[in-house]
Amino acid sequence: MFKKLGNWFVDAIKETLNLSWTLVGLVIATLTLTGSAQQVTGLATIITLGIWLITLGWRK
Amino acid sequence: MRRLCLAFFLLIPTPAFADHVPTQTPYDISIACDADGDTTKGDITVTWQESDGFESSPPERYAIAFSNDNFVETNYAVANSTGWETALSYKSYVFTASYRETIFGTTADTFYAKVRADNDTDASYSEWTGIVSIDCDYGSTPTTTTTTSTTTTTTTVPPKPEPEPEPYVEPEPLPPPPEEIIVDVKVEGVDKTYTQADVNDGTIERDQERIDNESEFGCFMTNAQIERGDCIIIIEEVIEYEDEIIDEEYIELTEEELLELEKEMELIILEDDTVVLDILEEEILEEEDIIFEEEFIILENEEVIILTEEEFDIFIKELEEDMVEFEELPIEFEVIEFDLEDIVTEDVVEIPIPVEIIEDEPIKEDIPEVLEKDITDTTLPPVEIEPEREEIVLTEEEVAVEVAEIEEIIVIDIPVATEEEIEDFTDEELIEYEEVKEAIIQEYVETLTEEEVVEVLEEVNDVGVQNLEQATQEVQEIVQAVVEEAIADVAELTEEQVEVVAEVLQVETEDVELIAESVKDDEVIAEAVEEYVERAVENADVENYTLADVVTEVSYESFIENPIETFVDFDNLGEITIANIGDDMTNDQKEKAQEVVVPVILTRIATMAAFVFRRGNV
Repeated sequence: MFKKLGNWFVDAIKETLNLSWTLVGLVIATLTLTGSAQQVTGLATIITLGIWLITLGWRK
Repeated sequence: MRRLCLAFFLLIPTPAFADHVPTQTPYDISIACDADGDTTKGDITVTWQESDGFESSPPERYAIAFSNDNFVETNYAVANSTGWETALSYKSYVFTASYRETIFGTTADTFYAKVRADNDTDASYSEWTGIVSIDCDYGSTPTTTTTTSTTTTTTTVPPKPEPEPEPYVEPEPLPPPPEEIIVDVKVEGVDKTYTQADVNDGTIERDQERIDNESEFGCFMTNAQIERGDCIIIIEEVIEYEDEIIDEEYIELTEEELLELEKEMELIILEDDTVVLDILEEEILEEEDIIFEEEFIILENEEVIILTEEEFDIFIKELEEDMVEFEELPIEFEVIEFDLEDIVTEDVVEIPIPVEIIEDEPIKEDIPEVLEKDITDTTLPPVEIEPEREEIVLTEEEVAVEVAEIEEIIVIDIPVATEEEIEDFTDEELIEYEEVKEAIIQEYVETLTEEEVVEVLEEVNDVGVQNLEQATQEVQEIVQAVVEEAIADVAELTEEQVEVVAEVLQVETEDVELIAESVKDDEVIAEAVEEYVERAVENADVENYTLADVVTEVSYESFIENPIETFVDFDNLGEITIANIGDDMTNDQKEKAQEVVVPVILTRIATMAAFVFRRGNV
C-alpha cells in the first residue's frame, strides 16, 4: 500500500514537472487577473491539477 | 490516424458555445392599459426586458410593431430612441389613445404588439417577441372631418409678429424669426420648410424624387439610391409564369402521348441530372408568403404604402436624416445671412399643390404630437467619441515648471530632514519621523475640499505621474495621499472630477468606481492604489505604465510571499456566477490579462498537439 502510494507520489511529481510550462503560464495568468476572475482561475487550476494527478494511473 | 485527427481538432480554435445570438430578442414582453388616468386614460404601455448584455451586437433601438388585427392585414411599427442600457432592465413604449385613433380610426379594436431589437450598425436584428394584446377602449375623441385643399407657398413667408405675452405666464423664448425661410412645402404629410441653402444644395429636388419614387416603386428614396439598387423593385414575372403553367395543365393528351411524354421527361432528367419540374408553384408561393410576412404598412396622405423590412429600415433612416435637417436649421439661421428681396426675385421654386385632407381641430392637435413623438423617438442618441489619451511629452524645463506649480498648490508645514540627518537617525527615530510625517500629510489631505483634491490631481495630470520623479519625496507622498482620498470619496465627485482621477490612474472613467469598490475588499488592489504614485515614479522609463501594472506587481509579490494563499484566498465565491466573472476588473486589467492568457492557452494547445503527433509517429 505504502509502496503504491510512494510510486504514485513520484509519478505525480514527474507529471507536475511535465506540466511546468503550462503551470507557469496559468500562474502568470492568475496573477494578472483580479477579483472574481482571479479566484475562479486559481480554483480551476488547482482542481484540474488535482484531477489530473489523481487520474494518473487510470489514464496510463 | 485518430491521433492526427485529435491533434488537428486541438489546433483548430473552437468558439465557446453560448446561448446568445448577436442581438438577443427582448424578454418578458407585457402590455397594459391605463383605464383610470385623467390625462393618460386609454394609453397602452408595451413593456419588455432588455437582454443581459452579452451580445456582440447589442440593440441600438427597439422596433415596436403594432396592429389591430393580429398582424393579418395591418402591420405598423415605431422605434424607440434608446438602445441597450442596463442588463435585464425594463423599457416601455406608450401608445396614446389619440395616436391609436389616428392610425386605426378607433380605439375599440384589440391592440396587438410585438418588439424586436435592432442593431443597424451591424445590420443585426433579433427575432420578434411573442405577440401581446389588450382591449383598451378609452380616451377616444369625437371627430369631424372636413376636406379642404391647401396651397403650397412658393414665396417667402414674412416674419410672423411675436405674440404678446399673456399675463402671469412667462413666455418661452421664441425661435429666430423665419426670415430665411423661402419655401413651405407639404412632404409626406409633414409641413416642411426649406431655406435658401436647401434650394442650393438640391434638398428639395431630392425630397421630390423620394416622393415620386415612393409612389412609383414604393421606396422613399432618391433617384441615386434607386439606381444604386437600394430599392427592391419587384417585377411581376411570376404571374406570367403561373399562367404558362396553367395553360400547360389544360393540354389534353392521349394515353400514348402521355407515355411518350413521360419517357422524354425521364430522358431529360437523366441527361441534365437536375430536377426542375417539381419546384415551381409551391416555391414561388412560399417566397411570396415570406415577403408578405415581413411587410410593414405605413399611412402617408391617406395612401397605404407597403414596405418590406429592409425598406422600413431605410424609411426610418430617411426619417432620422430629415429630423437632423430640421434640428440643424436654427443653427444655420444664425450663420447664413440672406438678402430677403434677392431671394424672392431670383429663386422661385414651384412645387405641385396636392389636395390633402385636413382633420378637424382635435385631430390637428394629435397629429403634430404623434409625428413629433415618432420622429424624436427614432433619432438615436449622439455618440460621443472620446479622443485618445495623448502621451505627455514634456521637456525637463516644462516638467520643472509643472512640478513647481504643484508645490505652490500644496501648502503644508512638514518637518523635512536632510539625507544626512536621516542617516544619523536611529531606527526608532526614523520610525517616529515617518509616522509624524504621515500623520501631518493625512491631516492635510483630510482638510482639502473635493475641488482642491481635483485641482492637485489636474496639476499632476499636466506633468504626468511618472514625471513626479523631479518633485520632492514629500510632494510625492502628498500626491499619493490625495489619490487615495479621491478614490475613497469617488461617490461624491462629479463626472468631470472622476475623469481627472481616471487620468491620474490611467484607466477608463467608468473603472474608477470599480477600483473604489475593489479597494474595500481586495487587499492587492488596495495596496496597488496605495503605492501607485511611488511605483509609477520608480518606473518612469516604462511606457504606458498604469494601475493594472501595479496590481500585477503587487499580486506577484504577494504570490512570492505566500504562494498557496494567492490560489486559495476565496472571498464570496458563492456570489460568483458565469455571467459576472470579470465584471469587477477594469478594462485596462482585462486587456493586459488577455495579452497573457491567450498566448498561454495557445501554447498549451500547440504543446499537446506536438506531443500527440510525436507519439503517433513512434
